[in-house]
Amino acid sequence: MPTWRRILQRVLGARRPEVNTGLESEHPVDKSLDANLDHIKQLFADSADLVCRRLQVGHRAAALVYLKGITNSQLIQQGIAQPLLNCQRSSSLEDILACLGVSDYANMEDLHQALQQMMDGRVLLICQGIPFAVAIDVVDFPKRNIDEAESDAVVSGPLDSFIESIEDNLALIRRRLRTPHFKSKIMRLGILSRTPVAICYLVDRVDRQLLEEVEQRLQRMQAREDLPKVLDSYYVMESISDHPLSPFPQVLQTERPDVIVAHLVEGRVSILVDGSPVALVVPAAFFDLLQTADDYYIHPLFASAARWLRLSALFITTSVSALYVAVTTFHYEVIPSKLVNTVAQTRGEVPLSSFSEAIILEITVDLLREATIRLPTKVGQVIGVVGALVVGQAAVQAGLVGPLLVIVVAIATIAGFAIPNNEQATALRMLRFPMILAANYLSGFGMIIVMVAVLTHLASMDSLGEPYMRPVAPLKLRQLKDVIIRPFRKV
Amino acid sequence: MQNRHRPVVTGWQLFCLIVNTIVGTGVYTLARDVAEPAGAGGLLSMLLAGILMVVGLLGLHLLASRFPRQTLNEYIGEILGTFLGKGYLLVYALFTLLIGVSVPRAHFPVVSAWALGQTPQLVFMVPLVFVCWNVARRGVVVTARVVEMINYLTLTLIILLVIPVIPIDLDFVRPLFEKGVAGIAKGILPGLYAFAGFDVFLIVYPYVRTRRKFGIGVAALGLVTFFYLMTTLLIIGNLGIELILMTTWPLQSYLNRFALEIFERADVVFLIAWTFQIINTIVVMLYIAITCLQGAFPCLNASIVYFIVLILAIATTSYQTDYDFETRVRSTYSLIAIGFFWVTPWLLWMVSLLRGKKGESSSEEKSAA
Repeated sequence: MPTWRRILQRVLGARRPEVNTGLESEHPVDKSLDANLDHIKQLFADSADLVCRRLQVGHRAAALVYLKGITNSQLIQQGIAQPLLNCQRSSSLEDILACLGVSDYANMEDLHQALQQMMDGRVLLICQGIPFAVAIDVVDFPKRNIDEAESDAVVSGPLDSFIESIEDNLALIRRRLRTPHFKSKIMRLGILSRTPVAICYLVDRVDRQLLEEVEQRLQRMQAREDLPKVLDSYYVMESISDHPLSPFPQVLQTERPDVIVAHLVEGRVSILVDGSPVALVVPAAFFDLLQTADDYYIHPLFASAARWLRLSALFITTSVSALYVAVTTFHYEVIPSKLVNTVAQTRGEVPLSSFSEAIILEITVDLLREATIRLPTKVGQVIGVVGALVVGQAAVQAGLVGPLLVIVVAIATIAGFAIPNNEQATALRMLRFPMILAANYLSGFGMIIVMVAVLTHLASMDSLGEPYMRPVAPLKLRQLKDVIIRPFRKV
Repeated sequence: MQNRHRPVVTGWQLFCLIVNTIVGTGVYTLARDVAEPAGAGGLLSMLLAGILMVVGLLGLHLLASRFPRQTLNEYIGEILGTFLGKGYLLVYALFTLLIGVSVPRAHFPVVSAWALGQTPQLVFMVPLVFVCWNVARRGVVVTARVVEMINYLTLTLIILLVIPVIPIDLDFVRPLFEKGVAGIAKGILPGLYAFAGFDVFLIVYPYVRTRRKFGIGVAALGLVTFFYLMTTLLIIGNLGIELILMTTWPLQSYLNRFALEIFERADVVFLIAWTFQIINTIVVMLYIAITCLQGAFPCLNASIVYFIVLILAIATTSYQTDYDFETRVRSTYSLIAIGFFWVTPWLLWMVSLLRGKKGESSSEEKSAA
């Protein structure tokens, strides 16, 4: 890695001090119930959600320890506490467990390990005179219902989308992949959050090298002692990307289980992160990000036409404003004769240069987009209309910008929205500014120089060993077919 | 250089590399260059130049296939000895750099006359050379990928160029032997120079995956010959020999006759789009120069070699000279270039044959044998 990149990475991603959970050391379960409870209370002092409930199980004192809110209290009361209170035989742990009649439990010798289990939503049963803690599964994390995807909306096709619960998300995939070949390996990331992360794949289709690479990268992440939390799949995405400084996404993000299944069937690896409704797919190439789930739920002809539109949107969103600047600054002669007078007339009334005019309008549009994106839908729509129509109209009437440029920038913005992946669209939108700058100084030649610089960057990237610009460079004809057209499914 | 010795270049990428390195600024003046000595027989000169280039390619193939797993840097020392080998690489690097530099230098006057009359040469050259150098320094994989991507656009341009929208006047292209066989033979020389750059075949040879390298090379030369023939035919057939000889850039004058619905001046649009092709040629030339310089000075750090090439390229492209003087110089080194690219590989092959020098074959090639 070049020195400048190392310095930049150090500046951007400065190492944080190491973190610890307070449960790293071993602490065997004591035979004395009071000693165990005292230790737990000491560790969880000032924790309002901790419950230590003492019970009498037969002739033995015992306690149930759990965290309120992440456990099913009804199940604890009816399925654990009640049977324990009614239990007559308590000479050994086996007798007590026989009273419970639950199968999903684990005996733990180490109290700290047992407490980790408790924080995953299990209830701990600790008995006087028994050097084991029993962790019983009563997990009930708060979660929202399965809903329609916000960012991956489709006109037709399945509507269900991932939620924040990894178990539910795995179930949504399992529902579509009823085969033992579907595998999901869970690992924990983040020293404090200990977020469950699942690596999903189809064992008979996945590229072994790819799978190993993904596992290695996640293990490296797991080994990091300065990573306190993983709150979203984006944390994983940043860490496993080959080129984290590149603005172009190298991992596919989706909220849709059907998209994940389609990629798993193609031999890719998916990563689910607990607490995030967005799943990741690797490897992801530039052109993979231009496809939508909709493509596979409509007629291939319409889907193919949509793909062509998206491909042209790539050029339009990055280049149209710059092209306007290049033509009006350097090449009036290329404008058709019938149009040249109109262009000259509208430009003549504007006091600013084409460059300043384009930059001001582009920044205004980006401001509008940024302002509306986080507002409630109705308010956002109003602001959008006010911004686009009223401000645009007023700016033209005031002679600040030409009407032609308003049309050009509007087309560029609309084309940007036609690109399905938000990160990719943002990266391409940002490209407009260097393109406009280059067009202002070197006309179309400058635009081409910027384009080649971007192509060089894209050509030098890989996504987990796969060329980022595949199947265009290097050319893979079979895969290319699925980029420019949506193939018919064989019947 | 990344991925050394691994077969990382596909057959299609080899095809793109050859086509895109050859086709560059020569196309602006090619019709005049061949028509000047050969008249309408310039078409035959072009065809013969293409055929002769296949012979040149055969020389490259014979030489490279004796050392299928080695780069030129590695086996040149075995053929010529360490000292001479390094000397050859140094001369080759500088000569390729010269050719690479001559491309933007030939492009700039057209750009200046057609589009950027007020822009200083330095302002145009620095970003252009820098972006090409940035590709070349990343090695064969990135160079091949970038050239491949740009190739799709330039292939489209090439196809658009050779579609005869304006019907040609056959009287302009007759008689073919107006200037006799001698005239046609004289026209072969500029025709041959128009193929400069096909020696990229030699440089990327060990990186290419396919075994049909020679076939791909011939196909690439075939396409270029067809393209040159068609453009020469269209330009001569539309402008006529007399007008061509009075025109500095016949291709631009020919394109000036087209008007598109969106853009009224096809010549300006073509000139801008053709910059992609110019970049391709410069990229490959700089890549060859970097590779050979690294071979000539293995003790130098790669970054230092990159830096030297960048500085040399920027300095030589930005230095201003008289256009006529530059044209005279170009005609001199174009002659040397033909010898360099066309004759030297044959000589090296014969020396390697006489000295019994041969590299190891890959296991695939052994099993095929």
